[in-house]
Amino acid sequence: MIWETLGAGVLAGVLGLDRRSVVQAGIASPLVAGLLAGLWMGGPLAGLQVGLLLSLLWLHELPVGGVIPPDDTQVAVIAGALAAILVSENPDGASAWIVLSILWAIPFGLIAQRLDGLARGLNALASRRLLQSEVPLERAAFDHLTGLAVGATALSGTLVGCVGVGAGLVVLRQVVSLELNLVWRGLTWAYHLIPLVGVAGCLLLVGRPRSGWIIAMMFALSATTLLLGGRLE
Amino acid sequence: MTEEPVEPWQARAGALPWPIRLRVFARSLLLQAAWNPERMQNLGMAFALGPALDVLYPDDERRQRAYRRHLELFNAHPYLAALVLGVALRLEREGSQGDTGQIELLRSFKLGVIGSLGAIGDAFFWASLKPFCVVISVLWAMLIGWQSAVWVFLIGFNAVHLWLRWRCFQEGYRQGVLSTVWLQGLNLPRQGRRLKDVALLATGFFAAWAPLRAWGAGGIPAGMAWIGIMGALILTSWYLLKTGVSVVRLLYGVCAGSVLVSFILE
Repeated sequence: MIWETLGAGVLAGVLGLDRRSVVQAGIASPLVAGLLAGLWMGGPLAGLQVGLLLSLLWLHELPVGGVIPPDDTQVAVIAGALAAILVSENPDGASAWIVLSILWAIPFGLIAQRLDGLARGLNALASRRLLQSEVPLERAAFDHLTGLAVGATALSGTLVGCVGVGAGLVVLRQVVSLELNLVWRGLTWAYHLIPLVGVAGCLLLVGRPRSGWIIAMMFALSATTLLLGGRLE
Repeated sequence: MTEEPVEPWQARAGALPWPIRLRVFARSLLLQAAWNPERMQNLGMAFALGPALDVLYPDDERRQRAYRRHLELFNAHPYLAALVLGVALRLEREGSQGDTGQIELLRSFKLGVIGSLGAIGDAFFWASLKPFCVVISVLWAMLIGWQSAVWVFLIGFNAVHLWLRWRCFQEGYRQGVLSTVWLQGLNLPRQGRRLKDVALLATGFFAAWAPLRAWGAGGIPAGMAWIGIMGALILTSWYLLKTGVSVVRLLYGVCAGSVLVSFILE
């Protein structure tokens, strides 16, 4: 399991680059990150479920201006990897293990958020030094700085990912083995409720006067159609 | 003052060699790498323009000045910043050929578009395109198949932003400061509103479909009240998020509440 953990950490580092430094092509979005982590650990479906939940939850957390939201990529990789393992080892109660993995991973997303802020502070220091420097500015200096920033991002992501997955495997395996049936039942319910928090986030994000009406009407129309179609009794 | 020798490519209109332009565009993909809270994307800007500045200013002193002026504060949406890079290439090229007014124009252009490119980009990419792609992918995963849902997201999101990035860069270089007229013609705010409407319709369907899917799962207390609970949760979450409660707290709250109800209903 050491290699799997290291691999998940490296994945977190590489995807962290897409989130913060390189291209920003959406590969770091929770949907893709969760699936990739799940695939790596042999449980793509559990990873994807983690990704879907986090994608909806994080919809209205925008990286606007200098705002650094909690790192959803780290959360998706750590939770996706853990969920894949826990679900494959204990297929009963998969929904509860998925939620448990997310709850475990979120503090690591907050740590990664702090590290991101720290890295940006160091970039500011480097920028200041460059401006004050008497040494002629050359392209190599910018290449070097950018390389350092990219390397620091990858390294911090890898470290957080390794610790999150490694410690999570040790702790959550013990927790899952406990007979806490009422807790697991509650987390299963939470699994079905969490997407609706995402719906609320989407509503808030769109923020248009008629958005509430559009959602309400679509909700009513869909519920009626599904009811008439026999999906509800 | 001696004149710098004019390279053959400088004699042609719009003739910064395409490999150099391609390198600048490729390096612009790392614009955010060294983002900092003081001057924001300044290091990224200098990094991206490096290959072009080295070619345009063989003279050390002029090159130094060029690098330093791009170390000034700059911040735009990372995708739309490609437009500014294209404009910068064109104006730097003209400035290097002796038209110093273009350098001043570039400085004021950069300062002038910081706010608008940031606002347009954030509203279109983060608040419209991304939610649209996420919501469609979630529905796709649930209704059609999870294997292809990720591709739907990646292709949908990247096709739009990579195309726009490339076109912004090209038009910026081709038209200079007039490229903002081209960008205005795309009417991104209106396109964004359309995407939001579709995302809202999909979200409404999802909000109705989710309770049906959860019906009876994990011993959920069945009954029409379930739909009421779902609606109440959406409204409560919306209100709490609006008042500034973080999504992380809300998530832990929902889980704690569910566990509590599970104990109560034992």
